[in-house]
Amino acid sequence: MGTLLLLLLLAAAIVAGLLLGAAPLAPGEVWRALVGLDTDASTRTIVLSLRLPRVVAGALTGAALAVSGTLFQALLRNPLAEPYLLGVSSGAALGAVLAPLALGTALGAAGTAGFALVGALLAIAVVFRVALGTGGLDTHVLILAGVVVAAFFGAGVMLLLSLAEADATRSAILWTMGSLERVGWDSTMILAAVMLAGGTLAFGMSRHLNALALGEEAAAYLGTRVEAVKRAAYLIASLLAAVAVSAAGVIGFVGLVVPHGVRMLWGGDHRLLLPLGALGGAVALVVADTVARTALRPLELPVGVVTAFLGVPLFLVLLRRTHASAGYPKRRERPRG
Amino acid sequence: MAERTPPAYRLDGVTFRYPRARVPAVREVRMELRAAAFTAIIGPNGAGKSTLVRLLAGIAQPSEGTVWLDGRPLPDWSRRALSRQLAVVAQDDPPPALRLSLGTYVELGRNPHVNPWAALGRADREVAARALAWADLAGLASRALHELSGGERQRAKLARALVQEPEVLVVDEPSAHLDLRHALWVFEALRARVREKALTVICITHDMQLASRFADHLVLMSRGRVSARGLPGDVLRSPALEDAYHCELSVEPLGELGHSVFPVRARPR
Repeated sequence: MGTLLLLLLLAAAIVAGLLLGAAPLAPGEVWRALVGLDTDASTRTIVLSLRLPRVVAGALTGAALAVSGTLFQALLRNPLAEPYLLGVSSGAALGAVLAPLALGTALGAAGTAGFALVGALLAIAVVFRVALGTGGLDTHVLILAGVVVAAFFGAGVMLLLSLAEADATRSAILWTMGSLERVGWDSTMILAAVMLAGGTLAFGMSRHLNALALGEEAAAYLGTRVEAVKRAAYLIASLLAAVAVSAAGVIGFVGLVVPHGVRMLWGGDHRLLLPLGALGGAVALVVADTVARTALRPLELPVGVVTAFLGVPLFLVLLRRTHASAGYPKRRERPRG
Repeated sequence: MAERTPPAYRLDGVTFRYPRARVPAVREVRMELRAAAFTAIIGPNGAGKSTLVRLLAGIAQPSEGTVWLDGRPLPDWSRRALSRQLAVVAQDDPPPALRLSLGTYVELGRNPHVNPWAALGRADREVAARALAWADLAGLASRALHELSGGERQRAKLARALVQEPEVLVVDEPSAHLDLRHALWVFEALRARVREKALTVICITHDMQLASRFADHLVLMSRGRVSARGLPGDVLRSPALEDAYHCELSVEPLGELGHSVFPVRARPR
């Protein structure tokens, strides 16, 4: 049910993403360009080199962020958990800001993405190492270590920006707003590979993630090797976030809101939550990016602004509806004493 | 005859100390727990009962001594093999944020048996359906877990444990927070399972009347030690009971219904 609905939505979002943009194109021409029939060169360039890569990158980034958020929420058993909570984005930001300072602007988007990925991986390694220091992967230590490391890398970004030229500062700030414009095919390929491998592994763990949601002891009673599952969940979630953020910059709310939305609509079973979350994240980001490109045409909005503007009200409506139907006691009805 | 069957559990002088604790929570426990029997473990708060559960479940590792399950030391069991042999029903409820249906929750009991990539097979679903029917929850499978009543949730936890198809079931205070009728149901249902399926039940409880009525054996814990064990009537009549609870007690035999135990007055410390 949910799968079919989201697949249809994804198909619709992709079609919309291909049809809409700064230059209005007729559906027939877009179709001809896609299937390789004869069209004029500019149409072919717009469809095949600009819009198609962007839609694909959006779908993959959205899916990666949503799966990452779902895994973090399962691992940390914390509703506020999201892909950037544990320092991945701060590490990536530091790398991205460092790139033009270290090697000049000759590197371009791919160089920035590479630097961002290194920064994100460094943050992951530091947080993982600190959290393991206490014998096992303690999720409380993990949250604290992650937040603290995030602050440290954040301070590094501030330091660099305070020393940098105005141009570099502006490009760094734009980077942190996130955009799918600069995602190249190489980044898309890496995203696709990590998404496929990480998503498959995560799906294989989905029963154990369900057990983990009961608590770590309860999961062990159900045969889960808790330590192994926690480490795998952390590494997969972090890698997905790292690849997404280094390719597209910081795009907020998808990794937080989509998993919650899917959970509210279809329940907390990770065998559904992971695939539906991936589809939902893909739909959300492709739609948001299409809006970002077309709302104030020819101006382009930062996609993170759109994900927040569209995602938050939708989420609040969902929150009200599901919590009303769950029959949580109103304040007045709560028993006294 | 029943005495001949090898014990489910053997503890050979097991001591457990929490990190930085001055006194061990469990000390030098040396006992066997019979297979295909109902053993109830009683004792005051802080006597080490829940720590004992964690030791029996292999979650806590003894500081000294070894816990043997079916003749094999617990550390030799893989988590998966152990969870096919042993199901544990802990005291805490599943967290409400879970958003699982009762059916999905109960099916988690198949985790130790199934291929993680595949969907549940027909046989697995039937095991889950039978357990739901056993727990009188048959019509509620699609209900959200957090919408169930306390009694229904307790039965759901027991059903989930039986879906593991264990030989041994360890339950920590299954009748806590339950009304009289539901508490009686839990003990009757466990007793029936022992009789009909030769399940080994180890049950921690504060309800001495139900324990003495339904259990084959009673183990009394006090300050980390086993201070008395044996037939329920013998344990409840032993002076160790009043010592354990620091309380003068009135213990009356009720025939078929076990024994009633009432506090008379607390002893000065």
